[in-house]
This record gives sequence, structure tokens and C-alpha cells, in this order.
Amino acid sequence: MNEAVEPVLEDSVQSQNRFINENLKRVFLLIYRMLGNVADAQDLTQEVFIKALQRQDQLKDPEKAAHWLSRIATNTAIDFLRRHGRVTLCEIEAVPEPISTPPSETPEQLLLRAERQAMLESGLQVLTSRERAALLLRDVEGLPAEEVARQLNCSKATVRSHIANARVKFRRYLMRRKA
Amino acid sequence: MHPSESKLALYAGKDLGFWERFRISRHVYRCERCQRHLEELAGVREWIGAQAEEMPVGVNWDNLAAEMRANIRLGIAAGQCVAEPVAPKLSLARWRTPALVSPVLLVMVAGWILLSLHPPIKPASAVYRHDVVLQAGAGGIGLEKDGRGFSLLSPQGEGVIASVRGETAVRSRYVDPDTGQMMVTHVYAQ
Repeated sequence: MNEAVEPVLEDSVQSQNRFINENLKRVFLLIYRMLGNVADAQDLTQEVFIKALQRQDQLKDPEKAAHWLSRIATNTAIDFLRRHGRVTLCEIEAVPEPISTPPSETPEQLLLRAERQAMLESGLQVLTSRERAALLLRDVEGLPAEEVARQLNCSKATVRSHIANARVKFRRYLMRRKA
Repeated sequence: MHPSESKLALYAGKDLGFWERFRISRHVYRCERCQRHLEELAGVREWIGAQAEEMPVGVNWDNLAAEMRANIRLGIAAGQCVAEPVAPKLSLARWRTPALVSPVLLVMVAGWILLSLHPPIKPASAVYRHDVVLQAGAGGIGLEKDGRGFSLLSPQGEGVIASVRGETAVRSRYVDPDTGQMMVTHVYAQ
């Protein structure tokens, strides 16, 4: 997980830009892993940063800005999934510019990466939205279970149950794929 | 007995309490099956962590990030344009005491003024006389006590309405046909 952002989101364009740059990729990937769709992840990432910067006075502890942002991102993504039902994967060919293949990879590398990404996305699809959020926050973002519980507005016991289910389901999924 | 798969999944991520962790550690130490299971779970966690950090295939992050940054700035600017001016916040702590005390004071002052203007009314039983009889009839309305009394006679003719108001008053009402004036008479017993 990225380091916490510099203290206080001062109300200046420069500090806002720094805040965006330090967290944009992390927030985009977190939302993308939850939704499985680049275009929706792009829209929601923008929405999350606009919300966060407009409500920066609600942030009491500047050192927790990254956690606070993750919480807004998680809640926004869960709300989106609740409104729109299950995740719908977007065909890469159908994605408009500026989403295009970076030229630095060889075709073989690209193919392997695409396979791994497809496996990850399919594996995440096996989980419920709450299990997915709990797994991503705990195992990818590296947040402690207590913080995950706070972010998902549920008890620690519930979060532990989500995390355990998610790990068990994902392991079974990968074992099936490998078999 | 082997721990459940869920317990092992939590153990793999160090998400168990001290005693459960201790109990499972002792079991895993001498159970090859659970050791393999744990290794697989650890591998899965590591694999997810590594893959999740990678950008999806086909995404040019530099272009996408530039577009998102521009949209975020635009969104914030638009929000500032339509935002209502924020009214200065009143300090509640500063106003709490006067807000609590002033209504009590107001009630006390109003009560004192009312009491000084209108002395306490005697209870109704003190003024109501049960031995007084109020009468209303075709001839008029009147009052009688201990065999003595008086009557206010109504003029001869139609249109006289006599009515009883509670237990302490009678009223007659008629319209004078010559002048058109209405005459209302009340008799109260006190």
C-alpha cells in the first residue's frame, strides 16, 4: 500500500494536485478490481477525488488521508455495484481512447499478463461485492481487519468471515484453473 | 483434528487471535496436509497482491491518468461555481446557557405580572349558590330564592327565545317589531 499522503489537503491547487497524483493509481486499481470495468472505474475514481476534495474539511487526521480516501472509494464502488447489480466486464477492444496498449511490452509478455489479469478478474467475480472489497482492502491495500471493518461499516467478526470466505473461494478457483 | 479451511485462511493472513493462532500453529507444526494448505493460501495471497498492482491489459495509464486529472479539476471547479456561500457557524457552547435560562426567566416574569394584575380567583363553589333557582318561561326570565324573586317580562308576542346557559344563567332574546332592535337579557345567579 502507498504511504499516507502529506499532511492536510491544503486548499491550494498545488497540494490538491499532489494529493491526486499520490493516490490516483491506487484508487483507480482498487475500484477497477471491485468493478472489473475500466470505464466505470475511471468515472468512479474521478467522482471519489471530487467528493474527497470537496469534503476535505471532514478529514480530522491528515495522516489518515489515504485510509479516508480508500473508504470513500470502497463505499462509492459498493454503492455503484448495489445500484447496477453484478459486475459486467468490458471488452478491451470496445474501450475507447485513451485506453490503448503500452508499447513497452513484447506480444508474449502482453499475452501472459492478459492471461493473469483475466484469471484475477474471473477469480474476483466468484466473490460477493463485500468479500471482494474485504479481500482487496486486507490483502492488496494491506489494511488491518479493524480498519477494513470500519471502511465497510460492519463488525470485525463479519469482516473476518468475508476475508476467510474470499481466500477460500479464491484458492479453490485457482486450484480448479490450474487443474 | 484439522482446523477448518476458514480458520486456516485467517491464520494465513495473521487474522486470528492469540490463542487460536497458538493452537493452529501447534497443529500445523506436525500436520503436513495443513502445511501444504497454508502454503497454497500464502501463494494465493501473494499472487493476488502482485496481480492487483498491475494495470489492466490495454490501459495506457499515462493517458488515462491525465484525462482523469483534468476531469477531477473540472469537477472541483464546477462544484465551486455552484457552491452556496457557507454561513459562519455559531458557537453552540457559547449560546447554550442563555438559551436554557432565558425561557425559564420569561415564564417566571410573565407569571409574576399575571398574578399581580389578576388576583387569584376564588373557587366556583364559593360563589355558586345552590338555593337560587333560575326560571325561563313564556312570560320571561327570572330568579327565585327562598320563595322570593323577580322576573323580567318579555313583551307579548312571538319571537321571544329563552335559553339556559349552564347552571348559573338564563337568557332571553327578542326582536322589537317596531324598531327592529334586538333585545338580549341575561340573568346570572351568584
